[in-house]
Amino acid sequence: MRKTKHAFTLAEMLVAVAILTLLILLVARLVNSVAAVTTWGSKRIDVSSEIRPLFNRMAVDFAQMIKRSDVSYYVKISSNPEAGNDLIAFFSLVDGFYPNTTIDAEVRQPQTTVISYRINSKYQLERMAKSLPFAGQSSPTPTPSLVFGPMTGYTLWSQFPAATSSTSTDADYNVVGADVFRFEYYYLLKTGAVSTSPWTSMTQVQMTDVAAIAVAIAVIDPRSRTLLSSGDITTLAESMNDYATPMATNGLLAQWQSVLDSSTLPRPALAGIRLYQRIFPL
Amino acid sequence: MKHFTCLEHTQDKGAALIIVLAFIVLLTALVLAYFNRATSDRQLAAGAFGDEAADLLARSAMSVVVGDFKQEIVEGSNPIPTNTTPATYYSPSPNANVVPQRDIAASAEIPNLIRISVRSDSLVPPAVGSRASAVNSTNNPSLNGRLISTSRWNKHCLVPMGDPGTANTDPSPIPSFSPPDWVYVTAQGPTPAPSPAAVIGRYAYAVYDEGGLLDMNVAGFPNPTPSPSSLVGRKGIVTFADMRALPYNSAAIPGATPSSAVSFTALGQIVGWRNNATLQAMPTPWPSWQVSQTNSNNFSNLYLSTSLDFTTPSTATYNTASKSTDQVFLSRAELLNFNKFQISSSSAFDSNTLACIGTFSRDRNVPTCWLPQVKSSAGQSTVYPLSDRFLILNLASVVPNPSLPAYATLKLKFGLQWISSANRWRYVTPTGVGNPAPPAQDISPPGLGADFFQLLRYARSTSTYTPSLGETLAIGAAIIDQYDPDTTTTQIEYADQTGATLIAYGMEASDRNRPSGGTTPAPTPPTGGYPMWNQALRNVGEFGYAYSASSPNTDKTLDFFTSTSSNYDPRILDLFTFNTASPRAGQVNLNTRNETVLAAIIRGAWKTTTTDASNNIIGGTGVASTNAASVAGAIVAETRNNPALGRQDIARICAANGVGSAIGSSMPEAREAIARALGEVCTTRTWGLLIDVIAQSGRCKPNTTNLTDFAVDGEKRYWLHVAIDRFYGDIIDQQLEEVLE
Repeated sequence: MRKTKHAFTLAEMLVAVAILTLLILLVARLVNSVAAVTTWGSKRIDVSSEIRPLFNRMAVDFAQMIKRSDVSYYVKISSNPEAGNDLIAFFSLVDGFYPNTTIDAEVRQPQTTVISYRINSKYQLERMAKSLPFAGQSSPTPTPSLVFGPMTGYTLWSQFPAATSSTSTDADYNVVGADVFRFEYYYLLKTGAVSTSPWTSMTQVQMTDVAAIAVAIAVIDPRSRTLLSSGDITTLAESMNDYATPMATNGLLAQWQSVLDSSTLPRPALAGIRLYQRIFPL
Repeated sequence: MKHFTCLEHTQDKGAALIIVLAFIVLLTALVLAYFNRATSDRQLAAGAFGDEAADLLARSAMSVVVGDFKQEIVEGSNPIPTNTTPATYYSPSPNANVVPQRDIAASAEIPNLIRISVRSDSLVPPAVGSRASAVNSTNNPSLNGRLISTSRWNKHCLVPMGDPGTANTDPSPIPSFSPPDWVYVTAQGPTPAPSPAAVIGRYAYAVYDEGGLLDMNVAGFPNPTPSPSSLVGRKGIVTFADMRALPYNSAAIPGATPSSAVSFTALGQIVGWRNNATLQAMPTPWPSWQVSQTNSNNFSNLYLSTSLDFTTPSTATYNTASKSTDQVFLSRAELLNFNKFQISSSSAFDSNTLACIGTFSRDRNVPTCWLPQVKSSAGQSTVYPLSDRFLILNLASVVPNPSLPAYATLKLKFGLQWISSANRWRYVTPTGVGNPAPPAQDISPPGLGADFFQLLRYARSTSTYTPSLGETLAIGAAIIDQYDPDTTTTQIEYADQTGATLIAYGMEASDRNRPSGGTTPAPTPPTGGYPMWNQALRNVGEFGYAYSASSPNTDKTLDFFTSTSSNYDPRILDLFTFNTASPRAGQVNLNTRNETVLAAIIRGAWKTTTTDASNNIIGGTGVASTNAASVAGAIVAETRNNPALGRQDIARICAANGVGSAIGSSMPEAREAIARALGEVCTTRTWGLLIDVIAQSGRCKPNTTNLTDFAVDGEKRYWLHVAIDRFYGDIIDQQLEEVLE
């Protein structure tokens, strides 16, 4: 006997649609929550993934820094306080971009390299790594080599002006922190003191008196950065203070965090900003 | 009753199931993707943390090792409080403790090796054991398969290699090299047998005697050789060590006679780069250099400075052609790679040569073993460790009819005043009152700011013998006569206990018309010629040419080569110096086990001199390579058992079995060539160490009882170059070199 088919009643349809709507809402909320959590986590991971190799790179550069009283440094001193974002340039025994690419990298190791860290006009952290030939090496020639003294006219800043400028371009600069918009450092001296300017002139720099260099940076994840204009980034960076004594070693990040907490910029954007500080023993 | 839904139909149930499963899959994929990324990130973070932990471990390990050496100094000494800084003087007790104790089992065939971390080390107090476990860094791989090969342990090429020709490709050490054992670290510090569960990391180390090597930032001269040959033959600084004495192209370990010499080509390439501006070297092509004789002489003048410490390169000139100042090897790795890649392979140093050269040396330029004790009027002894050595260059100011500015210096440095009416000097002591002051009747013991004669008498005093004032002044006058260019015998007035004036005479070769006999005796010049420098003396060893009436030797000069109770002269070697810079680089430890290093210093030193008709020294014959090697071997044999406490022990060493005969002549002048070569260059007061540390962070497998079940998270390696002052127990200087592998 053929079975008779019945259609849904209107009441049944309404109930079914209501339940389905409810389920969709619940699932949507769940998905949103999961997405929010994963997005937040991903942002954090993104930033961490960017900062970890950056700090590791800095650690190698600082560890291999040529710490002598007879070579040039371009660093923060009392007559060059570097308001706002900092710049540091020094000689280090690490790999870098060599002027003659035909020479095998191994042949050049270890070599003296001019290292410089700066924030560029796009609020990105750049690193210069300009390797120098051995003194008097004929190929390529003439190329400045490591000059001791430091002799007037042959200092780091006179021989490699781009290394000590926040705006000059140089092919050996590379972006190493595309989302780092604030860069600050200060010194932990062997006397136990914390200082931003233990010396009065560049020719007085005694890096052998420094036990460690503390570097603080502020990073914004790429997705949060899209929520801010360049003007917002500038405002934010400028409102984050320089390190100043007597400030505890954790005081700088606390001040920066208070800036973020009191900012009127969109919270989703601010939530993507992370603050880091690392101390590099010399 | 009707069923409410249509899900009774199989296909409808299936659709619902698929929809639900799709949601679940979607959510699961999202969550898994997130956790996967988070886990990867965590692992990366853990790796970075492991490296950081390893870095901290390595730095802690270096502190522990350096601390152990400092404790060895304190425990192996008789501490003497002083009134200066540092406040304690650690006099070695017994004398053998002047050198760091060696792990004999580990270092038998390895001259540079002092000790390694090893479970059963042979160290005894005051040396501190390594606290090592029985887990070997090479033979016991970690849980995740990590081990340190012997080639890695010899990356610095300080251990002789089985095949020296492979230095630039595989620095495998000689088979007898025993790789270090791991020292396990817990939260409480390093411990030999910890519970595996408590382990947070481990380190292993080897310590080498870098102070016993030639510092390539100072040693070596260019090609063409500085002219005249006296610049090399008179020695005085390690720059003039003849590095052709170093082993090269030889399968033998350092210490054996090289089968062929290190070439001047390699030396010239290194020195041409290092002293690029001083030499105004022109690449022909790089790394070979064209050096003019004039600029080669500039090089000599640079290293004959009486004040440069050579810890920094000269910046006096700039080479505009090569855009360079003088250079230094900033690290040992730079030296190795310069040799490996920059020097033409046909002339590059081989492994055995590399085992004889270093890049870091520091030494305080102060005497070692004497503490002048000055008694106050109350009878209290105050200890004044001499803070420096007397600069030989000061002798240049002892010129008759001195200018007014020199007058004060002469009184301060020599206690002398010129008596123009008598055409001679008067010894009045630095504190003598009056112009002229009355002649002194005695010399007080040296305190702070001692004068030349005070130091001279103090040097020649023993517990049973105190030289008279006249004898001391006569020897000092003879030294002055060797230094000054004139041919007039120096005369110095002094007084006896009654106040009567006496005169002490120096010695010139041609001035034979002096009074003799009576109360003012003048020595009679030795017959048969008496060689005179009549020019600035280069090193304290050249004091050995000065006349001394009490000398037991036939030539009646100061004696720096015999060791008898009646020879009071050797201590002079420790109180005077050609260069007063302190601390300074380039000094070599006299107690080095590296024979060829000493051979390089001795080789070419003038063994005998030639004179003109006026008996002025005009040339010399250098110590031959075979003699230098023999002498060096005999010296190491002597200091191995009886290490030198100070420069004064050079005479004892010269008198030791085999040393004197190895020089190939019995003439006093020839025997003293060793003192002239070593006296100014060597030191005993610095422990110059290269500490090679590898540290690994990680942990042992859960519930294991075996320390070999160690999983490595991170690894760090450092070479710490450190100079420790043996007599003050403090660190003079150090350089930390991260090893990138």
